[in-house]
Amino acid sequence: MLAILFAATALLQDVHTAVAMLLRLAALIMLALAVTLTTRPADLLEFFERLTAPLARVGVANPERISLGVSLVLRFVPEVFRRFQEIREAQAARGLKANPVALLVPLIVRTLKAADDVADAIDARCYPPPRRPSGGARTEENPT
Amino acid sequence: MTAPAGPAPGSAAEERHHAAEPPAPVIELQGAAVGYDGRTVLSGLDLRLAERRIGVIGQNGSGKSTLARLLNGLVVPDQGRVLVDGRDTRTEGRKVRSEVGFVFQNPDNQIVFPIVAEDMAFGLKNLGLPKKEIPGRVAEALESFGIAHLAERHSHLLSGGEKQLVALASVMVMRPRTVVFDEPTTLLDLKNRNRIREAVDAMAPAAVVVTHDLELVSGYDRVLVVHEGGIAFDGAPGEAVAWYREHCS
Ligand SMILES: Nc1ncnc2c1ncn2[C@@H]1O[C@H](COP(=O)(O)OP(=O)(O)OP(=O)(O)O)[C@@H](O)[C@H]1O
Ligand SMILES: [Mg+2]
Repeated sequence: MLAILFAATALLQDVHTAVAMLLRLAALIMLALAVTLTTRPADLLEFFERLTAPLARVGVANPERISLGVSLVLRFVPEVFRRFQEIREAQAARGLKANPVALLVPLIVRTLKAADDVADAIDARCYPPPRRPSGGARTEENPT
Repeated sequence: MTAPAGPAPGSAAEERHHAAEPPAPVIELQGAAVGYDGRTVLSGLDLRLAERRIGVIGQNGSGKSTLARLLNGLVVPDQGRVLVDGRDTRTEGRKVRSEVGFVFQNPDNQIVFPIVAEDMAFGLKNLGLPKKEIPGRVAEALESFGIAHLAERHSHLLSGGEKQLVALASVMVMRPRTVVFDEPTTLLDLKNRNRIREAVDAMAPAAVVVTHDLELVSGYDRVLVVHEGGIAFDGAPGEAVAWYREHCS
């Protein structure tokens, strides 16, 4: 499946993007599978925030952003599997034989659409948070 | 054509308007036009929205969601501008979004975090609320929607109705002054549709509700009909629904 995704991106975008995406996806999926089976999400987020806190102090990484990224992967992996099942069932019901391309195209399209909607939802809830005053950055606004 | 400036005295809308509530922010669209990939979807929008309950109806693809997204800067106009209490959505989008909440049609895509309480906390963190105040605010919001028992549940394993209540609570916990809803009841069964309808009717902030459910808007202060790239009708719910039935079916 990753191979086909890779080919599709390489065709539609460029190889560099495709490679980056492939590696990112593969790593994230493996990580997500490993940890979702064994850890409570809240503990995991806490862990990531603590893990990246030293990096944040020197300004390399933003723990909140990493924690958001990890939760997004956690929420998307089971959803992609569920959607995969749905599409397969829908196609089987219409008498289509299992065909990777026929499965993957709607799967990718729907996943990208959902990702777009989630990105809007994140925006709508005022992400990103204002920087903490201790970080030296100005707060953009002062919520009451 | 234009609805009265406020709810009629003694009306349900008036009762909802407690003295402690801040008034609804004024949302102004000034010559706003917006399209995708060079194709204009809406143009010449000049509106002043200040009523507490505003409905938006129209055919599929008429541009209702696009209009809704203009109101909190998720979409910015290609021409003209959109102001919320005088703030331009183009330059002060984040501030506008802290005042104008948004509830999407599909709660699956609105709920970001895997545990309900975490998802509720997300918006509060984004507002920069001190960490120690967050659990109290979350508990209070869950309580007010009668879903305190869902706090520790996996958000994506809830039923459709529960998810939509969580999505609504996660917006309300941020205490917006107006909430825009894009078809909040479309994916729900009758019972949950009524639950959401009651929650929307009872909530303190003002609401702009996009819907295909013509009954939902019957008690509203003002209803807009989106048709052929603009607002084709703007007035009381009964007349708006009648206009819509006549011209769009
Ligand atoms: N992100 C987008 N990119 C390109 N075109 C879009 C995008 N969003 C909407 N459109 C197009 O703009 C038009 C209006 O869409 P919009 O979603 O605002 O309609 P709507 O009234 O909400 O429809 P519905 O009742 O089906 O939800 C449609 O023709 C749609 O295809
Ligand atoms: Mg829509």
